[in-house]
Amino acid sequence: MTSPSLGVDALRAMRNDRRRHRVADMEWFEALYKVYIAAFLGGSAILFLSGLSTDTPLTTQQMANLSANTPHAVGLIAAVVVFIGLRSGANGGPIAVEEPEVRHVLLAPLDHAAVLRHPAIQRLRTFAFAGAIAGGTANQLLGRRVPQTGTSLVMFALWGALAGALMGMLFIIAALIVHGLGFARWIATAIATALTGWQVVVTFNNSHVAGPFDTIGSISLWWLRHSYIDIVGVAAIVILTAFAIALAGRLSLEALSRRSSLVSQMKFAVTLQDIRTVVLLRRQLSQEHMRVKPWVKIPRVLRRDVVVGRGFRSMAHFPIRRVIRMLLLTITGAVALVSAWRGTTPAIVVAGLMFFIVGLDAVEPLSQEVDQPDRTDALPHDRGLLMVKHLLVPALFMFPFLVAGVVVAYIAEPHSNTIVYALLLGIPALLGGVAGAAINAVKGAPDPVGGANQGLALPPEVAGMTTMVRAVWPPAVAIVACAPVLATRHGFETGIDMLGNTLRAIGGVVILLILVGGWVRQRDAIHIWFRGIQDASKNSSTVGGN
Amino acid sequence: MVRTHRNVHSPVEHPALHVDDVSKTYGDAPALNPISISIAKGERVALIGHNGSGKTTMIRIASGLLDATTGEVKINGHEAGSLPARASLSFIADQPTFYDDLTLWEHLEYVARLHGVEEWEQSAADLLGHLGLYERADDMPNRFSRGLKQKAAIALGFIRPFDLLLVDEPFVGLDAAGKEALLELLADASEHGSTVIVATHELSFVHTVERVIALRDGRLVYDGDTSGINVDGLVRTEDPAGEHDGEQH
Repeated sequence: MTSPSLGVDALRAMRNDRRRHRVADMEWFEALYKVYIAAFLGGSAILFLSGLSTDTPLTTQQMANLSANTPHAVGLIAAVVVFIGLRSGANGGPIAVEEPEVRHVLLAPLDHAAVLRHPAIQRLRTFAFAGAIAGGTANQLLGRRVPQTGTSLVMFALWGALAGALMGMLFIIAALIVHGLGFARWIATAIATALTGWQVVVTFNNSHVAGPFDTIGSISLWWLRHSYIDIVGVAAIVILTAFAIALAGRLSLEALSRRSSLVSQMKFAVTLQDIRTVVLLRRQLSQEHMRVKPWVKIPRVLRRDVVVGRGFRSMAHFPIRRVIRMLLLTITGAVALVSAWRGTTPAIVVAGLMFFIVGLDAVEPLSQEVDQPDRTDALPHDRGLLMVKHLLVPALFMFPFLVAGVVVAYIAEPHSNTIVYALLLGIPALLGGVAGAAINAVKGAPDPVGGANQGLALPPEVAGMTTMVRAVWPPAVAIVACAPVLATRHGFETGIDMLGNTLRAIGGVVILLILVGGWVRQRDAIHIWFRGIQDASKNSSTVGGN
Repeated sequence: MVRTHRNVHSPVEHPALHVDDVSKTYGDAPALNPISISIAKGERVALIGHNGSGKTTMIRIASGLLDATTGEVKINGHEAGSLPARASLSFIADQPTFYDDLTLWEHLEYVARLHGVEEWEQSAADLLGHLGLYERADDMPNRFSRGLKQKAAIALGFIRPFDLLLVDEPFVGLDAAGKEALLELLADASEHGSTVIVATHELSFVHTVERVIALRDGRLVYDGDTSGINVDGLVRTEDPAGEHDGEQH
């Protein structure tokens, strides 16, 4: 005997039961520890950011700039968020349900809207919350620099949180609409480019014409002035939210099925700080495949060394999407370096991270080699030398991106000196990104002595710290490689030996890059040596004990 | 054996599965070239072909898990993936998946009730007994071995009512008793009027069907009864010669 009404009831009942199971199975001590760690790290990040942004009050001119440009500038961030959301939707985002949910629930004769509405709202809530935290934090940091206006920091945080929450919601709304309406990827990209382009034009031309996302920026300024037209924007977002949620039932089963397993693998990889796996899974999620036909045939002269030739061949198969992404990241990094030159010191962190991500794509031949340790171990070659050779092509591959970065710098600072300094600063910055990515790739390689830290019996706090250092130092190398711009700025501000300052700082970065190369070359030897010391120490203590 | 049937019959007699000019490409790579097939109600069909021939793609498109690049698929006259199509189709995938936090018995209850089956306990007990899983009913299927997972997936496929059963490589990993049990379940489904389509290399099943559909490199290369072709040769897909193209209907 069958009853159609049972289906949705069964779904609700089982979801409630599973929630109860999860709560019952929860390790409360562990959960509290996670909350403690999150609060500790979050608090530390806010304190760090507070330290970076000085408390020097803004001048009248700066306040005028803030009032005039914030809607456009914050709107530009919202435009980028929507751009990513639209692309995510075209690639099957933003929802990822469990694989059994696809197989058993979504193939059951239930209305998909009834099944998927809940995860869609959950995702919307999560992003709105994350956006609210980010926006609230950013605005209260700003509030510390605003001269006495009688506005409390709470109001700064409140309007920032509202703007951030709307931004987070826009990401999910954009993705759900594109996915639900089944837009082709190129249409989504065209819409995203048009909206972002519009916002870029009004932002950089100081235009009086409103950008599509100015409302978000304007709301973040409500501590200063109330622009009631913004309420229309908020109402539009609320209507779009309802529309997007209504489309949840039209999400593609194929996309949900593909994402279900990949996203769970990706979450696992993130918990292990396995960036390489995250990169590979992200490519699968966005269906980014290598070109079958290479862009160019690699000439014989470049293939004389088999490893170098293999590197060039890999680059020749890069899909256009990857190249464009690398270009956009480089441009963003270059803009961040220009910001650092103009006085925003923390921008070097953004630049370093951008170049690190570019590097992750560029070191693909090396990463592929590390992914296949059996093959590497079977070769009659020294693994360190092989890996160092794999760095040559990615380093050369950075050249066109260097040119793009120099062009960006020249557009932002149109002086003849800009080209010279952009070249001087761009080369170590991009190579730093490659070096950071190379460290990340190589540390995933098998340890020749089966784990150099094995047997050290590190206490959990130290082991946790070691894990964190391992995760942090690859991007840190990329960030340090961007630091010479600060030396250049210092030379300019003090009027003392700007070129000398720059070259000395670059020299430091070059030494760092050589050390990284040496580490890649000698990693196996270092581990063997380290294990030898450990064994010797163990033996001597055993003898002493006897 | 206790088994439930959807028995939803529209006044107009539609084929159980109608595939019209369906193709599938992944990026630039074609997985399935345009194919048209019609399978009547109650037919028992083996879908065979080399690895990578497009069997799984074909079955997943019919189940609604994959979107066809071109063409349309209808299940009992309804668009594949639509609610009425999902109601009448049961799909047993080649890679079983289960929830981490439900026992096998809870899975059976959940799937049965999702499909509107109120009295499911006896069917579930019968199925588990038949497949030799009764003692494992309170265990987590996600921790089962490959063969037991396959049996659990079969139980989930049969606990719900269906008119059309799509099964992808169901014999992989099964022991002799499991294969026997599955063959009996498939025969039982046919006897009760369900259409059964199985993608398999298992000769013991292929010899029992009325119709064989063979795919190679995403193309339909044979559609007919088992007498018209050298079934053994066709099924031995590792045979590199592959000279088994039969007539096409």
